[in-house]
Amino acid sequence: MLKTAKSALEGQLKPNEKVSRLVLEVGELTGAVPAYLKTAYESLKVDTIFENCELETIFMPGTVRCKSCGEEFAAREHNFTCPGCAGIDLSFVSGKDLVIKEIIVEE
Amino acid sequence: MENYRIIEVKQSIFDDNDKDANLLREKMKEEKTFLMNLMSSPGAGKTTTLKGTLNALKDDLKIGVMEADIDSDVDAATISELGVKTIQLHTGGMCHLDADMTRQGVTNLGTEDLDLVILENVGNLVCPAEFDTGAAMNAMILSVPEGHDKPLKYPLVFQVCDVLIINKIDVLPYFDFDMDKVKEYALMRNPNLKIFPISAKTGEGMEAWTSYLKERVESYIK
Repeated sequence: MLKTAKSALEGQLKPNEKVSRLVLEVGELTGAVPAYLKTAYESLKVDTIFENCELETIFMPGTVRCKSCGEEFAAREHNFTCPGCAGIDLSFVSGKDLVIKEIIVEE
Repeated sequence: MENYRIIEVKQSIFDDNDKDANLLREKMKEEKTFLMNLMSSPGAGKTTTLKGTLNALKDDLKIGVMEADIDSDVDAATISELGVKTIQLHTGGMCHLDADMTRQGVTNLGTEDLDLVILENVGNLVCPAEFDTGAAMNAMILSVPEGHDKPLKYPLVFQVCDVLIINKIDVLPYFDFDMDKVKEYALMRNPNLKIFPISAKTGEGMEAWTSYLKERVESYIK
């Protein structure tokens, strides 16, 4: 995660700026637990440019689309089965990823 | 926060790994080596299934094995007795292999003259499912004592796999394991999943699995 964040900052950070907040979207279907991510982040950030940067997580609901009838629904709630037509061939709409949304920098 | 600004990133933390995985997949395809990623819980019988598979295919295919399971008892000596090239990958206690570690393993093993490379991933159903290793095929082993509800509890691994091997069917009479239910749940997660019930111990069902694998490898390396 820090590797991705660092490469995203390359050439963007001015000499008088410091990173202050990292905003991470946590997909429901990744199985990642925000509290554990934060704990791991606290140990990993030591001695990096993120030392004084906090991690903010945003919950992204796991949504899927039924390939048969096109209905979009909450995957977990409906146990990966379309509430409209009982279809099980689905494509993912959101909530399957960990995405660095933005990084906030301060002077 | 007087002077602050927002840098938009919108980048998945899996992007780097996905890129590495696709590069490795292309390279292996060019070299005509079929890379199979084998996943399971600890104790599901990866090692025994692996030995049975190697015994069945070693005369027809040139095979290599990369061991990443910290729990594995297959050592280089046991495998080389079967005439199969093997290396141990050191994950440094990590719970999964990523594409870059797999690429290093492939380089160290030397796969140019091999038809099939089997990667025995770390025994775990969560993390290995999230990291694409660059394999041409993902297979997982679920064993009867683990219970038929696992596709409901670990959906992702069932979604990313092409093959589900259900091992230890010889002990079915002693467990409340419902074979129809597990198939139903697994296909709910992934309608394209190929399912092979086997007993690596008695050899039952092994023929169907190994012939399927052989066909997949042969059509890939043609």
